[in-house]
Amino acid sequence: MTRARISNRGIEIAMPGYSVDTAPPSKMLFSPDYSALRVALTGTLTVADYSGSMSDSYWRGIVSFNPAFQSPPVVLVSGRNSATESVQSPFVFNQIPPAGTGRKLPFYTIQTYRNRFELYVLRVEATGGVLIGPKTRVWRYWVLHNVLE
Amino acid sequence: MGGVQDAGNLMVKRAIIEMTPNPKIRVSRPGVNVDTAGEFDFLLHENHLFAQPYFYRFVACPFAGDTSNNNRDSTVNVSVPNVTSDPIVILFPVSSASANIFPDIRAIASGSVESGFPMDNWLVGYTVVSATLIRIRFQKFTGSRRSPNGTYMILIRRAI
Repeated sequence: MTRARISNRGIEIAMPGYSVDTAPPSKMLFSPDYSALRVALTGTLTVADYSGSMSDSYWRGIVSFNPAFQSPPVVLVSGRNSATESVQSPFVFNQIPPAGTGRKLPFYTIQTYRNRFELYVLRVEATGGVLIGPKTRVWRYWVLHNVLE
Repeated sequence: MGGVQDAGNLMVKRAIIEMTPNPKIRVSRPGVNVDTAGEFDFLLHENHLFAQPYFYRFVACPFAGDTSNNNRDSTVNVSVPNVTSDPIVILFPVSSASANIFPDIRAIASGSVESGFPMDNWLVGYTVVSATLIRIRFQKFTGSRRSPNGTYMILIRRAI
């Protein structure tokens, strides 16, 4: 039984107990039929006060890309409360009064562009009665190559 | 000094490719000996499941470009390869040609329940119908000024 093979087809690795010749896609650990998510950049950023739209509700952090991507990439983030605890749960808080100022407030939101991404994180305390933001201002990020470029 | 450091790293054995008797395909982090590397020191290991999306495609919103105040609600059925009925689904909405938004857009506007709130208020969600069919739902709520262009849909197999 051939569990792994390197050939003109590429690298094939099946799960233990399976052969690359007969394993269905769900039993392949690595397949030359699929692209691998490539991490272009990773690191941490700190969100802080800023001036601009919705600055009463959010902190912001910006990471620039140099050179720019051909199209806006996919970015994933995880809040870092401490060395042993992370924050990853996204939710959206809709604040819609009968009349007045309505707000749509994701826990965090990432806006990605060709040359940067902006991370907005709901503040712990903000005007409008929002008191449910995360504790952390330090976030880890992963910028993934957009494989459709 | 950088050259000396680099030369030192080149001396470290970082890769193993053995096909028999038990396959080993391993690459360790720069500077780490592959023979003694710990669990988190591998860039590649034959027993790891790699984050290979088996599907990665842009799905267009049927009402992209609609700037009316109207409520819109559309679903798009997307056929996908038969790999698993329990995929990890990542939707990365495309707000416009120049910006992606994840997981959801933030917005603020003045208005009322009667007249609506003229904010960018849209949602993209999904349902895994079967191993070969994912249903994407695009919604634009009354009063929203804009609609999303679409979404990237990324499907990844779960580690077992």
